[in-house]
Amino acid sequence: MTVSRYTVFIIDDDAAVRHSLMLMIKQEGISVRVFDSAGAFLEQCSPDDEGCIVVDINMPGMNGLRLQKLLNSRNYMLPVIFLTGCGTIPQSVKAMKAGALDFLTKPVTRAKLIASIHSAFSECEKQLLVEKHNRKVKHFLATLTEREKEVIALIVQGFSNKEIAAHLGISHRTVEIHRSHIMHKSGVASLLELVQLVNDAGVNAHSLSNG
Amino acid sequence: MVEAMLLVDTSGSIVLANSAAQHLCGYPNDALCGMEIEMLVPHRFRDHHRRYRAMYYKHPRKRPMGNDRDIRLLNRSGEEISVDISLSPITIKKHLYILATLNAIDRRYQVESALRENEERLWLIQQAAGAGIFDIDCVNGRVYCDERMRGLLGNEAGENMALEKFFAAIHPGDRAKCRAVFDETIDLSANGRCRGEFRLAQPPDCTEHWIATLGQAQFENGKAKRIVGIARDITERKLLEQTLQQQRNETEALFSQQVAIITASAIAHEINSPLTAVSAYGEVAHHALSVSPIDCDRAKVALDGCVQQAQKAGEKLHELIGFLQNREVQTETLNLNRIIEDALLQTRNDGFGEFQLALDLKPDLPAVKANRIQIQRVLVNLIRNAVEAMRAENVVNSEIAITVETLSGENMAIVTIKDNGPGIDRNTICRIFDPFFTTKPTGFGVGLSISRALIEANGGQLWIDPDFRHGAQFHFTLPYAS
Repeated sequence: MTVSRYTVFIIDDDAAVRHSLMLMIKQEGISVRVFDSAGAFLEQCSPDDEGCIVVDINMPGMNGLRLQKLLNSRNYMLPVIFLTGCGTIPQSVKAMKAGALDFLTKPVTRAKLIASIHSAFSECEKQLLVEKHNRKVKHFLATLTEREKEVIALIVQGFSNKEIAAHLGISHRTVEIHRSHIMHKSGVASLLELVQLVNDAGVNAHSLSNG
Repeated sequence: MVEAMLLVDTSGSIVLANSAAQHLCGYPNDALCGMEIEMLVPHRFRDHHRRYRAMYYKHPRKRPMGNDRDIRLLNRSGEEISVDISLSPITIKKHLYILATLNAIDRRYQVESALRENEERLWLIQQAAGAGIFDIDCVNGRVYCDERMRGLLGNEAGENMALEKFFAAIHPGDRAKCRAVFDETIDLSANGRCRGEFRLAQPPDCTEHWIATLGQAQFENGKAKRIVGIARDITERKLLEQTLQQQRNETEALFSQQVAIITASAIAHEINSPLTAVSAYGEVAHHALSVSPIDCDRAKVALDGCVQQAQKAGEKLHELIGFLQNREVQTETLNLNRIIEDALLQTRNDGFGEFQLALDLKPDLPAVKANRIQIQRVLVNLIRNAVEAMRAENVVNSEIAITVETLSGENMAIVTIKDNGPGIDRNTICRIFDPFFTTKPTGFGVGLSISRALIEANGGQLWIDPDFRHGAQFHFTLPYAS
């Protein structure tokens, strides 16, 4: 049995529901953590958590929908699967609009729950990749010197080395050296990839050259 | 018209009379001049007049004569004429004269115009109230109707028609009631007041028309001679009442739906968690037993969980049902005949009254021990069901028969309610007492199951006759108090 690197966080006020679902998910080789309330979960969760949340929508205290809203506002990105005793359509629409991954009615079958958890995991993985890439871009920009930033701003605007040299009042040779340093730091192979990278960083050429 | 004027001196002699005065009194000028004024006063008032004339001379001033009393003038031909007289003192060359101005009053004209005014007022009131007038001649059994009344009753009504024809204008369903009101009105021992609201007979496709009547009987020699009264069209009010009643019924239906939904939700909420756990534990056990090697420990834990949670669900259900039923039924000794009558009244008021009733009550039935509101509720529910079933099938002569009697060999009363509707088919009969089972398009399917529960809570039973060919027939029993 393969052991998943992801964790399922179960939040339900009923002890037997928590326990039985935990056993079920563990049988799939997935690690599980259980919480008896939304508050208990909020106390213990961390930004490094990876996996998904399975939460009962109707709980005393903070209910599932409010928890989802709170997590969204905190930029806590774990996918949420809702469980409900009596799923009303307005409730499920609300949950889905707020970005819920799935909405399952109790009692839920193993097949449905596990399938839902797996799709939540791949969603989580996607998010992690995006985050990793974003981190890489940020790191790359941070390593550039001021002159290199000026150069890259002109590169992505499509100027030739000669034009850049004239624009910055430096020699053609010096531009070539800056350019090779930039390509080396970014780790990309082509000019096209470099432009893509700068775009992903979400900054424009103007702000680059200024700072 | 020139007013009649007489100038009289202090001795009471007429000194001057204008031509109008001559005409009024019937004397020529010569005869009037020098005539004592008392000659124009009827004999019986003459002495009186002289005394008052003397008193007036002492304090002469301009004033009307007679203080609104009817003053009579005696003319030459001996006729007495009513007149208004006003007096004014006039001094000519230091001699006092009295000028009497006379206005003849036509009493007959006054009476007639007063009568006409009264009639006009009455007509206006009648028009404003939209009322028609009827006048029943009880001795000859005939009815006079004014135009308005004939308009209310419809084309068949004549101005002067036989009493039977008058009754024929009333809706067949209300005719008996109308006759009863008539009988009570002519009953000497009652107050002779005639008051009622009836539907009118009409072609079947027309909307119902209602009239309200109010009248008074006049008695002579210990017998009713005449009933005079008015009738008014109250269709609009009745329609409004029906609409309101319908709204009330709908609200009530909505309310009981909500109660049912809340109850069902409460039950669902209570047992959903254990069910979820049972399901999950079951699948855990299944999985534990299907892997190799078999995970005995986990299977055991999961099956234990299953059993516990199933038990828990059962307990929660019993708790909930116990809570819902934990209300002692308040019973009292009741006259079942009376409750049936009350229930019939309520159904009619609720707008479900359009059926012929065959009522077989037993006045000497022993009192039952039951909760009045609950039993009435069951009766109303059964009668309404019958009416609705007959309505749905457009049964023409819808009829409901209600009988009450003693259940043979038991210390119990049995009530039977039978309609001549379409009956209930075999498949429906099997499920008719199931909660949420309904054949009505807008029904919620709790009426009969609640009715059965209520009768059982009162120590009786409710069932339906399986012979479904001639309408539906429901029975319920209730224990006698003693």
